[in-house]
Amino acid sequence: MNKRFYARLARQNLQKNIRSYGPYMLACVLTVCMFFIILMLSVSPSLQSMTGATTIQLVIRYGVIVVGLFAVIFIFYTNSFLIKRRKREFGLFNVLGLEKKHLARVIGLETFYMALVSLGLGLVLGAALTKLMLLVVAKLLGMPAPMGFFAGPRLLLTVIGVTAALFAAIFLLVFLYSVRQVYVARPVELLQAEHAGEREPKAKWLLALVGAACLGAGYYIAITTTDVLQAIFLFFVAVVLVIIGTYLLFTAGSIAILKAMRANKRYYYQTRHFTAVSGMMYRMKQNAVGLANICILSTMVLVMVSGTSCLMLGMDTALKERYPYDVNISRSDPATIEMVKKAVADAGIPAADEVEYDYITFAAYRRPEGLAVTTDYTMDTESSLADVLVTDLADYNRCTGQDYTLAPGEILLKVERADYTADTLALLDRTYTIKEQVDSAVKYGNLTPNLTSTWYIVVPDLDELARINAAVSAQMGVLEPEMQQEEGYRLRRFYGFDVPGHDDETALNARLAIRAAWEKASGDDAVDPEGTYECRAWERQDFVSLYGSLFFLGMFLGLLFTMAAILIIYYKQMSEGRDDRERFQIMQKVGMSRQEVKRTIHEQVLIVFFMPLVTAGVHTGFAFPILNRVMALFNLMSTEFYLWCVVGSFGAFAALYAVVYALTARTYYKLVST
Amino acid sequence: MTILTVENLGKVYTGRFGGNQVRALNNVSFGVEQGEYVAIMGESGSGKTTLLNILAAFDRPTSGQVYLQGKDLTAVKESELAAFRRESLGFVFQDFNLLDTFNLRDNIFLPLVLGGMGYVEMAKRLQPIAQRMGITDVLTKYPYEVSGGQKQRAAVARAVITQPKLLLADEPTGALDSKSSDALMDLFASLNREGQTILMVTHSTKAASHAGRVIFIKDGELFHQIYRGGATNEQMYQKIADTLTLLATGGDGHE
Repeated sequence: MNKRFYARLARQNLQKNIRSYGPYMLACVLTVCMFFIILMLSVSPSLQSMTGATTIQLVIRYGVIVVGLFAVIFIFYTNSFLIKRRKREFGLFNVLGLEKKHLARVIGLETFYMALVSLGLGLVLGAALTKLMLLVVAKLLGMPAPMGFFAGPRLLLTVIGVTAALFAAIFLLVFLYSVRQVYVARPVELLQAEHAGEREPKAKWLLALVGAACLGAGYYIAITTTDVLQAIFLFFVAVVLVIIGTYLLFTAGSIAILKAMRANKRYYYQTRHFTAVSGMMYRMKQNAVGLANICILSTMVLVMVSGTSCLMLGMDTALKERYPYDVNISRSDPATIEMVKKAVADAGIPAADEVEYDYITFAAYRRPEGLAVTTDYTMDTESSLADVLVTDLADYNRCTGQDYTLAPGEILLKVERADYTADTLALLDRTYTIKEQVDSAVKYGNLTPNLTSTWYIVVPDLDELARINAAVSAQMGVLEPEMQQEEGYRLRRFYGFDVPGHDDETALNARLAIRAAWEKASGDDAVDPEGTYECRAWERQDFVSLYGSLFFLGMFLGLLFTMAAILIIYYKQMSEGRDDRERFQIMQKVGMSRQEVKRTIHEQVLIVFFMPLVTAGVHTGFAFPILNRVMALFNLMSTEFYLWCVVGSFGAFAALYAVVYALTARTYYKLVST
Repeated sequence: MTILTVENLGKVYTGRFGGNQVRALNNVSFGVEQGEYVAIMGESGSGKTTLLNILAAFDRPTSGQVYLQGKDLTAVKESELAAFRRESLGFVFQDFNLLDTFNLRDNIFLPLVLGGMGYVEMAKRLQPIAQRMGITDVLTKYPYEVSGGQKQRAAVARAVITQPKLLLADEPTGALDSKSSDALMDLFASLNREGQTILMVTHSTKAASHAGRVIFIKDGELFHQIYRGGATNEQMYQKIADTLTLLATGGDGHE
């Protein structure tokens, strides 16, 4: 047999199986394309020249790893699915006289063509889209669009080389796996391979229970973790548990439930339940793993897209929380603040909405009767940690536009991220009467991104404020003398103001003026190491580069995972269609009408394909509390806003899912009814 | 009483683009009496499967009528066909057509469940039939776990559990070994003795020799038919073999 024969056979095989290999090839092309793009972005000189480049590149490099891993798993998985379906074809070739080494040669050529097309088209497409992606990233990060071509020839060649090497390795792996599949099987087995999976599944109650337990534990962790510092670590534990639980419940759990349904004769032998239960059992056995994959992928897409879009969309809100005024200054010596005011005025910048108040902040621990200032926290967890900010009444009324009065021993209180219901509050050596829990407090950005609870206390006058300050100093001093010396525990003063029209450039100019005054006042920072001046417009750069790149990555990976989910759905529909065809015909012969058959099948297919989506929704729902706490780490404190992002993401994803379903269902019905 | 009447039945298959017409059945007429056991024989491509498909209402004729107990089958509405088929006809196929997702019992129950019968009633009906078919022990097994003969007997059980007016069989012994074939034919004969009307399409002379009447079809037309009269199975076998020889050597039959 000559060489051309193999080449022609390989080509014909691919063409003949275009229904299954077409989407696979498309997915490979897109995976190559996306890997190329993200790798290109990670080394792109135009991104390196942007502000916040380190953050952006860190995030994008993380993306390169994820996309690379994804490519390996995804291409391998899809191929193994396709090879399994072709075993019969290989068996036939084998029987017709093609030896296994010849078959290996054909498979090798097929894989080679696949790799060639994937890499060729993928790289061309990637090169074409990289510039577009660069523009998108620049837009997201609020940078000017990079000019010219995106990379020099040398860089371009390196990136192409790395991409080609990775995918060549993947396809080699795929080839070895396929050949192994053919080599280990005997021709008769190959011929019968497709029918091997039709045995009735066994009910594995133990596995089902383990699955339920894993899922329950994962959900429990997600719901009950209030400690944000633990949330990130526990989140991954919960994710692993939920993934295990999902796989076990989809595989063992579904079968166990269906078996239980079948055991109930009165229920089972009803027209609708009869075909549905047995049909579902068969479907679940064939599809459980694939459906669990879809479910996990969907959940990942939902979490990523909702989280990153929430960060991006909520960025301005988060910025305003963290930096309540255009310029925020905290200092322990009022003299410097006066110098700052003068410097700003000298720079010709009129300060608007000025706010100024004296305060102290310190950390305390929650007790049933109030707050304790101590370093002996052996009995405490992070969740009982409280940040306390105390101001005097006059400053409070002025800053918030209120008109409260307080008798000695009375306070106003506002607690964030915790509840306190008692009428009195014990603090240090005194117990105060809470006159009222108020709705508004002075704006102080530094405590906003805190994960612990924040307690705003308003005392009647400056004397009381000074007295508490002294008491805190004494308390801390006893325990840690060196700390007292360092921090001084003097009264601090906050000064914040807005620039006209919140203009960024004016704010940045104000910052420059303040920096000059600041350096003159301090000489070195020893006078007040805790003093800060923060300008919102300046800080935004950091926010934008972090949130913008996370958002980009979230969307990028979301797209990739969605593509994978779509491909799996398509293949499921296809294999379902082939298997159902025979059953469809028999049922009609035995006395089911066309409509009835169509309806039952339609119902089952709907259940099978929307179960992953619904489960993904439930997963996301249970993940919400813990994710909400993780979001707090990124300065996003609005639960409601995040909820809308999650609901929005789910809605968009569900709509896309439904469209994909409708399109692939046509393939399915075509297969069934011909 | 005539249970099935076939009048001037014709079926023409037309190629996809209107050309290439194939006449599968031409002007076929015959009747089947209540309690009769009829075999239809013919070579591959003679039109016997087309005929059976039309009798089973899987296919519509291009001309002529089929009456089952006076009811015009060709006029039954598409939406009523399934129920009609379920209630009036029983089917036995060459490849059994058992569903792999059901065990034998559930396969047999299938038409009854589709008809909305309760479990207790179904179980009551199944018990004697299963015993009769000799499949009581394997009822909970799945089709891929039992022998071909057992599969086919389960299929027969499924066909007769609805107590159909007419049992249609398409090459029922086609996929069976000779021992299972003989057993199945004995079963058919005994069902027939109890009054079940049977119409069977077959290649097998041996299978046909159990029937009370054999109709021969050639090139879509009724070629010949022979009645058992008082003949034994062996004599019947000989008669059929002779007719088949005539058929094969180019006899023109009644023309």
